[in-house]
Amino acid sequence: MIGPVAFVLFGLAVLLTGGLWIGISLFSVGVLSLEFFRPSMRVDRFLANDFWSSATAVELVTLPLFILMGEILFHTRLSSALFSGLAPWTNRLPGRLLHVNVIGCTLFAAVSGSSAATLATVGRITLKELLARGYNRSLAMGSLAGAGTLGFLIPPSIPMIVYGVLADVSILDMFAAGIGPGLALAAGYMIYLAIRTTITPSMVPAREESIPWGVRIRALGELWPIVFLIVAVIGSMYAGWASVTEAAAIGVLGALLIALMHRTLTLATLKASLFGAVRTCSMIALIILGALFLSKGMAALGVPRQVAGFIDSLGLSPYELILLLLVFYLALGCVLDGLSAIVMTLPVTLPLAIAAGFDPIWFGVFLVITIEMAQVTPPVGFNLFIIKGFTGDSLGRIAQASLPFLLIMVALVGVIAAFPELVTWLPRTIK
Amino acid sequence: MIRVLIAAIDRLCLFGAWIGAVATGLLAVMLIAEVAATSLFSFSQFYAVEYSAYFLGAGLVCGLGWTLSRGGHIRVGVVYERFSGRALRWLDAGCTLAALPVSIFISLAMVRFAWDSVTRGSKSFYPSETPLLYPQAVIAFGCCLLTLALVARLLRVLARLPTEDGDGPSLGGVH
Repeated sequence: MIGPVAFVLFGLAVLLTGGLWIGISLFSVGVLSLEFFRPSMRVDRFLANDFWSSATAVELVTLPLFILMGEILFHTRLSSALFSGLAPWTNRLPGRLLHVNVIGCTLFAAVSGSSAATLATVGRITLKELLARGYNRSLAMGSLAGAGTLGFLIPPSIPMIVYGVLADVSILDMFAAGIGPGLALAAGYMIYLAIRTTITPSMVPAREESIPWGVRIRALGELWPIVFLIVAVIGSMYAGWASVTEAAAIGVLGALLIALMHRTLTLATLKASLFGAVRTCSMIALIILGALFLSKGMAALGVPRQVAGFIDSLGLSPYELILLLLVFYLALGCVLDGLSAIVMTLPVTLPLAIAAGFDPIWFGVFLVITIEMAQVTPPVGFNLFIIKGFTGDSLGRIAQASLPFLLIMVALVGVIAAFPELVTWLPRTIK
Repeated sequence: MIRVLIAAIDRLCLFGAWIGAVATGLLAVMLIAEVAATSLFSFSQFYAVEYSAYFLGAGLVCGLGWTLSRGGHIRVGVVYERFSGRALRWLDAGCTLAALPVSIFISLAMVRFAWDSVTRGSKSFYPSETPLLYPQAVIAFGCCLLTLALVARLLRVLARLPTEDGDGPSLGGVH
């Protein structure tokens, strides 16, 4: 007779590949597996209780706030301000304006929880400017696709909020843990751009006249709104002035002030921001609520224990386990959106990682990096779609351009596995 | 007749999205006021934590149906994107039919859950003692809207109308 593990795996595989919505697939498999294997259980009551408590969990309050903040900023002129503020400063670096993609995304990531919002906001100005000035198309697209993923790793981060809730770890600790690897990833991208353009100088146009210091200093003025917002959101959290929820509320207020200053705060943009937030929240909610229900259902059926027993029987070392999970999530990220892949598999993979001796915060950061990889792997890499929308290039070409940056992310996994303190030092220090 | 029914469901789903948008806006305003009140006047709104949970629930669930009609919910496209024309319509009808039973199951469970709060007179354990019927009814309404949106989607497939009128997931948030 078929067991619960096989039923859950087979059910998910059939429903997901058949094209059923991910959240609904999770609910379907959860309901059916409990009805089949726990016939005495009142599944409707179990589901209703779980749905109610998950949908009103105060830990999730930051989610709509950070999403709303991103939506409001998306409608401001922050993208052009970032370009004008950063461009004069990158002119002397090898690779020059290509670094605006990376630094711009790093700065925007510090006020946005989303990879797509980061990429779309920064890229809609930088990509046009880079291509018009004759920078190598492939490098411009690839660096943007890779840098856009920083939105997930540098706080505030929506996947980190979701992971914090699912794994029952502090969201503030998760945010702190993402800063080191996020900055390391940005540095990795910039080093690659410098080396690549030094080896092949034709990838960047001929050097323009040097920019006077006065112009550079004046350009910095363009950056103060974003710096103010970073200090208000991240600074208030780590200075102990505000909780994560309060910081998110401050972020919304700051975003509204920037929109007011940029004269983009109208009833129409406010409505568009609120409806955009509802759409994103609903999309995430269906997946999270389904995943939480399925994970509790699987726990009731003993599925995580059985899978853990199987993996245990393989006798893998901790690093072999992480390598296996990396390959697994890379493969899953090719066909599934990264956040969905993590949320669905977390009930099984988190106990495995903890049993192997990994810190849950470290494992959360590892998973967020795998979500970032899923953003740039075809055929469902979301960043690739956004760049396609900007340039009209084929997905294959954009994916090829993003490959070096994907490999840098893989290398980052190796770095945090070898030096876990890169992740765990900051959360431990600020406690 | 079918078009009238679809239009009615669409309007209802849009109404749900408005509830979600207003709830999200109120959540932000209430928490901004809470930050100002606690930091400037050392005063806390006693209902802030409780009502932020209710606004969160409404913001997450009331837009489920509208998001479906805008193409905002995520699905794995590796198989269905290979189809087109009639085959795609059949596959879409199959997916919608497969989603309906579980959506009806969730909706009925949530309606029964809210009704139980009526019969038991359940109130929140916060000082406000808010009757739980109200927030639970809003969540049940959101679940029913998802079911109705699936019905409208099925009718659209049968009537050979476009199933989604949006531009997919929003860019400002996660996707």
